[in-house]
Amino acid sequence: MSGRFLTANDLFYKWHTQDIFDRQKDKVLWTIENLEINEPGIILLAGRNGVGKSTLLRCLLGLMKPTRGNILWFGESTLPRGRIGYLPELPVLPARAKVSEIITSLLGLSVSDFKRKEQELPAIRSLNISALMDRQAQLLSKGQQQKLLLTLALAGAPSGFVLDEPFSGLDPWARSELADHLVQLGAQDHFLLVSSHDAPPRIRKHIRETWIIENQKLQRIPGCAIPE
Amino acid sequence: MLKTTGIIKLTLRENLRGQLLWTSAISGCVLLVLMAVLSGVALSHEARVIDIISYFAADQLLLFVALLSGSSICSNDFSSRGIAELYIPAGATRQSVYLARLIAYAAVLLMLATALFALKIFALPGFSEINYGMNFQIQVLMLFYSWLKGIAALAIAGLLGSLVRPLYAVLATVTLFSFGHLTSSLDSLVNSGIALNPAADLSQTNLLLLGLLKIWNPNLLVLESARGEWIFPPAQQIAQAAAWAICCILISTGLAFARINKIDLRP
Repeated sequence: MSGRFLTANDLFYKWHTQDIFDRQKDKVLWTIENLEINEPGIILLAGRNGVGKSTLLRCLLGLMKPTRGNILWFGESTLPRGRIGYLPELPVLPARAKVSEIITSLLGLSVSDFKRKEQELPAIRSLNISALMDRQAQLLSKGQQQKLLLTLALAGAPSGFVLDEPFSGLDPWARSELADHLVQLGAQDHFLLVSSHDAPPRIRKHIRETWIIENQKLQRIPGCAIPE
Repeated sequence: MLKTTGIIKLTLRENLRGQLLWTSAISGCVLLVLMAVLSGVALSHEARVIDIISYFAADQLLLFVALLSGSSICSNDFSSRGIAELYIPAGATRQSVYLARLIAYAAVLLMLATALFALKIFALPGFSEINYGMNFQIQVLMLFYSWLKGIAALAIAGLLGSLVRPLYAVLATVTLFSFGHLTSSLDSLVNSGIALNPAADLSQTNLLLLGLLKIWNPNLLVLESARGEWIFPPAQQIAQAAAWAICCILISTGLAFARINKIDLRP
């Protein structure tokens, strides 16, 4: 059976450790038989530190290569252009570029076209990135950088989002705003794969499924299955 | 949708607002002015040596910027948490990110080369003596060649940066280019030896080896020839050197393209 959005089979990732005598050891990070995203909604990826959540997300997005396994997005083996919005754990933005320059260069829109688009799309409007247009992106706070990346992801009109620790480092107001945005997106026929240790309460009740990595295996549990 | 031109624009801005370009440009200008002053007060035979050193110093500065920029493209963007993480999930291929960055750095090198060239030719006319009466067209051709050599160094450092850490990539590229310079000096030595002692004979193997060494670094052939006499017509020699540089760029970029898909974007 293939997933509407994502299908991954037989995923396996091992990495090499090296001691001071140059002896190599293989360590298995995880083995995942089957993964699918068939429906819109929010999926939470959880697990203890170091179990390989970010590595899994990176493998799914083609940033890293699993040791073995097949990954298909929308039935294709390559990541379709612009159909997935990605929010990395620690955003890296072009050096010394203003927010307006990043938006115009990466989206191929003029500032006025972007502002028009912003008015048309409530999700983008609520992020209010226009207020930061003249600021240097690398000097923004983490929450503001995440808003910028989310704006870039939303403006590309993707079908889904992969978000790596979107809530970490955000103030309570930004966390609750972001949670609202994500719930809205989940309700609008988008899928959201969110890796998080501290999903806010207002998003928990909207989580459709939890993927937990434990003992190098991935378990799929309906609803939100992480402790408060 | 992510545009490759967008990555070029952002990289250009990043460089134009960065310190590397301006520090290099200012250092190059200071160096050339100081050398011009020294050349002005030196005896005629010393002045000639100073002019030649100045010419090479400006050339080496360009090479240095190329090496630093090239080695960082892969290492910063692909091997560690870099901005490719922003571009690739947005739909850009790894190759297009690499090529866009390479094009933007090449443009920066062109700016730097042109600025130093303009200073040498127009602001410090004494430097034109180094060219021993070369006409302006040939000087422009040599600027073009110098720029191509910079991009060749950029591409080779980029390729090596996809294999090893940036510092090692710089060292390896410096070794490659130093080897070219040394081989050229060896060639000059052999030629002067033959001129002094026409009866001296070189074995076929040595001749073949020397021929191979010359293929590696024909750029020095251009400069060495300019210093003395042209062996072939100048345009032909510069075209030969440019062809060499273009080959280096194409081969290095092609190999980097093949390599770049295998790089993990590690956290």
